Amino acid sequence: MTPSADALAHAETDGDDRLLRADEPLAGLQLRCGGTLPGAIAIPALAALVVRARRLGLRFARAIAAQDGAEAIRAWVEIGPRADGEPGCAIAVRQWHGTPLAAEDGATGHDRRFEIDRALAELTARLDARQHLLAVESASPELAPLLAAMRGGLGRPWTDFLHIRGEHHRLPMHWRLLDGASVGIDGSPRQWTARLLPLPRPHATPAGFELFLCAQTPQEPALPSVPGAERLFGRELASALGGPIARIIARAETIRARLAGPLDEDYVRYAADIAAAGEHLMSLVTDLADLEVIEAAGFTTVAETIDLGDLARRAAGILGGRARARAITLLVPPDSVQCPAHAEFRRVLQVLLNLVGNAIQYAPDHSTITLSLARQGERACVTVADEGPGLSAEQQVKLFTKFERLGRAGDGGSGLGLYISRRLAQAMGGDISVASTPGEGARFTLEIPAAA
Amino acid sequence: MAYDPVMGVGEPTVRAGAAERLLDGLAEGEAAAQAIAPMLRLRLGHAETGLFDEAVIAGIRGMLRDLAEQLLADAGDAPREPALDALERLLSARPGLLDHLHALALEARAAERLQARLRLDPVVSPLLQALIAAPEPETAAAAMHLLAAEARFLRQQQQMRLPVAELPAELFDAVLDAARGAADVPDDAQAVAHLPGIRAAYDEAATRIALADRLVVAMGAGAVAAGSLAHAGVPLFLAALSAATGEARGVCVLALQPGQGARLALLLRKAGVKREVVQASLLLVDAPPALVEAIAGISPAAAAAMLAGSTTVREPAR
Repeated sequence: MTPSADALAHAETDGDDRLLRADEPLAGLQLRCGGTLPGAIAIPALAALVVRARRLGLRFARAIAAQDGAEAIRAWVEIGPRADGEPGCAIAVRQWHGTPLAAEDGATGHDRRFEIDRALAELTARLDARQHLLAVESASPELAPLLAAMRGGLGRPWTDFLHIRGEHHRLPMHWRLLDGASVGIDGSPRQWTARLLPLPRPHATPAGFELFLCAQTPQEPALPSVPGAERLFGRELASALGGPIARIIARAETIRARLAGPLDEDYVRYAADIAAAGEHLMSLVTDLADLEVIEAAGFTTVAETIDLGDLARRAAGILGGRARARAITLLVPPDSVQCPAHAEFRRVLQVLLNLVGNAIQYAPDHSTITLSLARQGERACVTVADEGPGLSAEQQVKLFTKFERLGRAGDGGSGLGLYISRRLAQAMGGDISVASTPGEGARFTLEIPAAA
Repeated sequence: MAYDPVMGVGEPTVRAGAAERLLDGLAEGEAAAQAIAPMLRLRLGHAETGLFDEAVIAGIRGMLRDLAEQLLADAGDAPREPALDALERLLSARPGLLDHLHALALEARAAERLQARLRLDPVVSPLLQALIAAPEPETAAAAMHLLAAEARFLRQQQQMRLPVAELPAELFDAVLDAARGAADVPDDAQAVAHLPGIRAAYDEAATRIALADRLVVAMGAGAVAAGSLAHAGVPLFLAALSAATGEARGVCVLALQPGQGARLALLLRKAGVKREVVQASLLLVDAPPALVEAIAGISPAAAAAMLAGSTTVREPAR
């Protein structure tokens, strides 16, 4: 078994055990393990072997195991002195087998999530079996008031000190219902997630709990503010993620449409799920980018002369397909009706798409959505009326809050749409209002400055 | 009793090195003292094990002598026996070497037992035959080399010999180092003049153990076929078991010995070998029926956990 040219790949190291050059697949593994080429060997099993082979000046032949996050790799490598007599080793790879890494089993993944949450928690507390506070720790200045309140209220239920979102049940609640709940904290602009870890661990009746509060958005790093330099992370994110996500959606659609050949029905459904999740992700990324733009200090819109009637018809036309799929009728003002206004064309269209899109999403099948126009003094108004379940007074108040989902989860919304729409309307000198009675549908009205 | 003022406790005048020597001596004695009870049980015959049979001990002695003779060339002028004895002592003090030789002796005995009782061909197993017929020329060639190496190994074991070049690289380096140490008297330089040549010619890839390991890697996911002792034969079985469990080869060899059925069963389950195949292999090594029954309910994870609690001293995993 002498070194020969028929190996899968060759590589060479120097006297400091750095990889000087390597063929694929070794080169790719080196990079995926976080190494560079040339550079220190980033594959632990190979590095250990190379060091030994160089020190002893002997020819080694061993199996090595490695993984790169996606695959577990087993390879057979032969390592010996370099043929040119220079210090370092020559490596020949003779076998290479990659197997996809098994997904973490549920229990391990569950434990790991807790480890992560514990590490990220900005407030931790020990609770007794009735979820009453025993001890509280937090180093976050943002949570200092909560910490003080909780320390002053040891022995009371932890839920007394913050607001559990979407919570209409009577407390105390079973811990499983509270674990993962979204909570609001007075004095903190951020949304928080509560995690409850029962103690002791196997699942008998818990004798107590660990409580973690993890922020849903990371703490803003206290960067020195540079005038004029706006953080446009969302914009960068959107441009960086747009391409890959679009590819995911396109590929999933290809599979779903069976363009690449016949496919089992289950897999078609999976592909549809992937495409839908991709579209959700895409809209979330776009929303975040929009949010950042409209929240930036210098955000302005262009005041063009537009026809609100034309825009209402366009929005209905764009979403007509989605409405038809639910057998929803979209009623729009006839072409003859015009309603001139001063606002930015594409921003108004964006707001209308959001309003009509929401209406379609929450209205029942076979119902009607009506878009109507009105002029009230200096105001041009367009109203989107649906026959959905309507909104309570309390919901109407919360509706325009950032990330507000009104307890709806898993329907593909980001909780940003209405917030962004209202900010856009306000930036154009207008507003959005809602009128609704539960059970009788909702009417969303966009008003903007009217033109002569 | 009067205290010697020089050696008094806390005296700063203790001669350098004296304390060290005493501690070393104490540690040596400690090792022997700890071995008393287990050795007595073995010699009284109260421990059911073939691990220290006369034949096994003789085999290890023979291999040590053979290694010493390869390392120390006959210089012709001085009587060679004392130098060889001295080198043997140095060799047996090298960490890992005696473990390795012991494992080789046990492995050969396991192969003999399977041949005698079950008519398993100790050299050409069904799996090795299949590998020799493999479409990949590299795999087929390695399989042919393993066949030849295994036949050589069994013959050498009968003769209680072991070529230096068959040692794994670390042990090869260690024994060469020991030989230089034994011969650091200038007169003996001639006795070790051949060592650089042996060193330059060494290629671990040509060793029997590496050939088997390499074939297991070459089989990829197919290596599961080597989980059956009857199908794989001893060397491929050991290589596959060690690779799949991460346990040292020596631990796997131990598992093939009489009375070690539980270890074998757990290792095979840890490796993910199917229950029926585990049970078939257990029957080959005469494991008690209760054990064969018991292993059926053990999951791979449970087997791994039980093995992790075992206090068997392991040589560092290769």
